[in-house]
Amino acid sequence: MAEQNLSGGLTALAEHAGRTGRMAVAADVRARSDRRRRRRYAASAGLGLVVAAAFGAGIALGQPRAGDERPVVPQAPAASQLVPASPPSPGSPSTAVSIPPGVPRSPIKAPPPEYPGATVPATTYQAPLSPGAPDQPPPTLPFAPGS
Amino acid sequence: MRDAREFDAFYVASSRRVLGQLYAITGDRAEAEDAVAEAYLRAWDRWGTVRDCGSPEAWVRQVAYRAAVSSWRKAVNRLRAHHRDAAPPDADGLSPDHVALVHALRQIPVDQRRVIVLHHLVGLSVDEIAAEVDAPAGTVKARLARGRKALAVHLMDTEEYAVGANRHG
Repeated sequence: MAEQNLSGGLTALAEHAGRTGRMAVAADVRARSDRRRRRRYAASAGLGLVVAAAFGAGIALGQPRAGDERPVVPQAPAASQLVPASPPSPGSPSTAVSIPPGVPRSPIKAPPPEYPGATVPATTYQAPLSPGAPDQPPPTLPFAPGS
Repeated sequence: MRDAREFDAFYVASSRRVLGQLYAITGDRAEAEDAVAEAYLRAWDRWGTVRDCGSPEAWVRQVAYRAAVSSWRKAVNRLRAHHRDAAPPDADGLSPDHVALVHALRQIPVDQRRVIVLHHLVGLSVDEIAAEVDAPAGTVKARLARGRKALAVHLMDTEEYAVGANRHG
């Protein structure tokens, strides 16, 4: 078949298929496309929600709970090791007791950060450090001032 | 609403033509109908982009061809046995010459079939075909030459078969 015959044959074939083929009307095509788009958006939104929920659950599970074990803080050396000089005399119960009533006392200072080898001055309050309760308030004095 | 009217006008003007072109490429009318419908669905989904491209009809034809090839890949193993011995399923209303042409088109590779349809039916030049099929112009020329040659051989075989059948019949 020559080239012209090939072109003519193809044209007739295509025209026949175009005439006899089943094609939806344009409004149906648009409606189907819109439905597909809405389904795609809904699926994308659902997938996004699932991903966000999984992300949030992962973060929540990664957080330590309130009753969980806290990180171990290096224990401070004992006060007797920190204050080698001027030990309290055997007769006096403690430095706090020797303060007469009515004398203004220096405020109680919080213990300094615990660095290995650091020493604490003898005048500062030595809180009973323990790894389980670092934020405990200082113990109450044996007697209130003025009593 | 303006977009819808534009799309409707484009669809009415081009859908039958694209269907005929896809039928010539695929050789299967149902396959061509499905591919063209899918292509126009995607065209409306991206109508803002498709409308502004150089040739919306070429865009639809390209998408329809890819959809047809994709469905071929999925179904080729399932349908190969069925098509091997079966008669052409949609030859109703076709003249014997057209039936022979469809049969010959089915015998050549789809790449050659595509460039033959684009050149002889759509009327594109070699460079335009190269742009549409994303291949070098030399490749398009080679496919055209090989496709024409193979098509001529298959059509000749068909004519000889038909002549022989008439003589013996």
